[in-house]
Amino acid sequence: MSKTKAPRLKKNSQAAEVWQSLIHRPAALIALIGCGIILFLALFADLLVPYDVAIRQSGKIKLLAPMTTDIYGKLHLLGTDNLGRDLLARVIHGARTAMEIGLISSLISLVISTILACMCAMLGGWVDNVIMRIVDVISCVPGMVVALAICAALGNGIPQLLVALTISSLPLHVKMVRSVALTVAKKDFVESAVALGAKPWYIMVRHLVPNLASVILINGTAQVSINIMQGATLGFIGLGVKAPTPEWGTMLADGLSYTMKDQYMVYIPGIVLCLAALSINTLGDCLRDALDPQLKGKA
Amino acid sequence: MLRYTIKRILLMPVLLLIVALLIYLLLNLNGADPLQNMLPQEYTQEQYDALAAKYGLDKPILVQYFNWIKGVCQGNLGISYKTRGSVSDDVFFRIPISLKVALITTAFMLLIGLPLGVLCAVKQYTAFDDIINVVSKFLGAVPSFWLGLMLMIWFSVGLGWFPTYGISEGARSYVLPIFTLLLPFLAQFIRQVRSAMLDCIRQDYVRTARAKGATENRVIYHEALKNAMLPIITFAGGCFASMIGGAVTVEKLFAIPGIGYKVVEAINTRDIPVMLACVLFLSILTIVVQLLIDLSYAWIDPRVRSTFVSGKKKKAPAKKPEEVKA
Repeated sequence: MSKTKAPRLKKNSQAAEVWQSLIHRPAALIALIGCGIILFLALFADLLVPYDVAIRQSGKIKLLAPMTTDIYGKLHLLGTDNLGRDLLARVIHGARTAMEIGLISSLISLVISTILACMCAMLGGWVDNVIMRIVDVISCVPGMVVALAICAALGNGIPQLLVALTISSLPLHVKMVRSVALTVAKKDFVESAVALGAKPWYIMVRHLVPNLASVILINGTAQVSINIMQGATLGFIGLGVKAPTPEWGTMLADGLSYTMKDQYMVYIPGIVLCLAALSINTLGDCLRDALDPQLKGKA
Repeated sequence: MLRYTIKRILLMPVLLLIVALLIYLLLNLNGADPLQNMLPQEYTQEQYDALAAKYGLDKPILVQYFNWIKGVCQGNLGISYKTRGSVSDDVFFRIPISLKVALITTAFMLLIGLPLGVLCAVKQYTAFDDIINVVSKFLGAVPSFWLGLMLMIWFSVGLGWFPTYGISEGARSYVLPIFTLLLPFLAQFIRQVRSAMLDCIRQDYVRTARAKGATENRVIYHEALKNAMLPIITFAGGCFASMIGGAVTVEKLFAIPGIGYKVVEAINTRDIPVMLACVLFLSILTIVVQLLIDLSYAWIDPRVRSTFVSGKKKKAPAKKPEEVKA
C-alpha cells in the first residue's frame, strides 16, 4: 500500500503546484476561465438551450440581425441565420460539437501515439523500425490532405471526422513523444528496472508514461485547439459534420453567401472559434511553462 | 553523406508507391460507383461495361492500381471522371500557381519573421517582445479561412482595393490570398525563431564570444543565429510544404486555381483520378522538402555532418539518428 501511496502523494502536490502557478498568472487565469466557459457550454448545452432550437428551421424569422425580437416576441441575442435558426443556440451547441471533435480526437491520438512511442523506445529494433516507417509514410502527405482524403472516403459525420483528425495528427505526436521516450529510456532508473528483470510493459507504465506526462499534456492541449480548427476547416469545405449539426465551421460556410449584407453570420462563428482557440492555446502555453520550465518559450 | 543522400533518394519512389496504394485503397473504400454519375439516366449493361472498360474499372482494384502506376511512369495520370479529359492537362498547369503562392509566402515569412523573431529574443521581456508575442498568439488562433474571409469583406467588398476572387488581375489578385496564408504561419514562425534564439543566446559559446569582445551584432547574427538555424530551417521547410497542402481553404476561398482548389473540387465530385494526381504531387513535394531539410542539416551543421563520418549518434534534431541507424 505504502508503495503506491508515496508517488501518488507527490503527483498531487505537483498538480497543486501547477494549479497554483496557473491561477496566479492573469493570462492563464483568463485562459482557464475561457476554457471553463467552453467546457460548461459543451457539457450543459442541452440545459441552456434545447437542441431543437439550434436545428429548427423557420422561414418566417430568417436573417434577423443580432439583438432583434422576432414576430413571436422572442429575443435573438445573436440573430438568426439564413434558415431561421437561432445563432446563439447554434453557437452553444457548436461548442459541444467542437469539444467532442477536439477533445476526443486528441485523446485517442495521444493514447495511441504514447503506446506506439513507448513501444518504439522500449522494444527498439524492428518494432521501432516498422512503426517509424509507417509514420514516415503518413507524414509524406500533408496533414490537412490526409484528413481531407479520409473524410472524402468515409463521408460526413462526427465519427468519421474523429478518425480523420486522429490519423492526421498521429505522426507528429508519435515523433515528439518518441524522441522524449528515447531519452527517458536511456535513464539509469529504466536501466536498473531492466536489470531487475522488469517486463517492458511494466517499465512503460511505471517509468516511461509518468515521465512523459508533461510532454503528453502539453502536446495534447495544443492538439485540442488544432483539431478544433481542422474540424472547422473541414466543415467549412463541406466535409465535416452532417448538415443540421451545429458546428462553427459549417456555420461560417453558411454565412458565405451573405457577406454583403448580413455579415454577422460570418463574424459570430469566427469570433467564437478564435476565442476558443486562443484560450486553449494560451492555457497550453501556460501549462507548458508551469510543467516544464526548461521548455519555456518553445514551439 | 553521399551514400545517405542516394539512399534517401532511392527510398522516395518506394514511399510514394506505398502512399499511392494507401490513398488508392482509401478513396475506393466508400464503394460509391463513379460510373453511375457519368451514365445517362437509363443505361444498358453494355453501355456500363463499355464505360467501365474505358476507365479500367472492370478490373480488380489491385490491377487497377498497377495499371495506374504504369500510366504514371509513362506520364499519363489517367482520365478525369468529371471533365473526361486528361488529368495531367488539368493538374500540371496548376502546380506553378500553387508553388508561386507558397514560395512568395515563404519568402515574406522569412523576410519578416527572422528579424522580428531575433529582435524578440534579443529584447526578451521588453514591451516589444510582449507586443509581438501577444499579436502572434492572437494570429495563431485565427483560422485562416476566417481571416481570409474578413480580409475579403474589409478590403475587397468594403474598400474595393483587391479583387474578391480569381487571378485575372495579376499581382493585385494575389495580395489577399498571400496575406491570408502568411499571417498564421508568420505568427508561428516568429515564436519558433524567438525560442530557437533564446536557446542559443544562453549558451556558453555566446558568452565566450562576448568575453572575447565581439560586437553585439556579430554575437547575435554570427554566433547565436547560426546555431539557431537548424530548428528554424526545419520549421520553415515544414511551413513551405504545408502551405501548398494547407492552402486548400485559402485557394478555395479566393478561387485561386491551384492544387488545393482542385483537391477540394475533386473530393466534392468524387473525381478519384484527379485526387490521386493532386495527392501524389503533394506527397512528392513533401518528401523532397523533407529530404532537403535533412540534407541542409548536414550542410549547415558540422556536428551533424560528423555523424555520417563516424556513425556515432549525436543528439541531433528530428529524424537524423534513426535514419542513420536504419
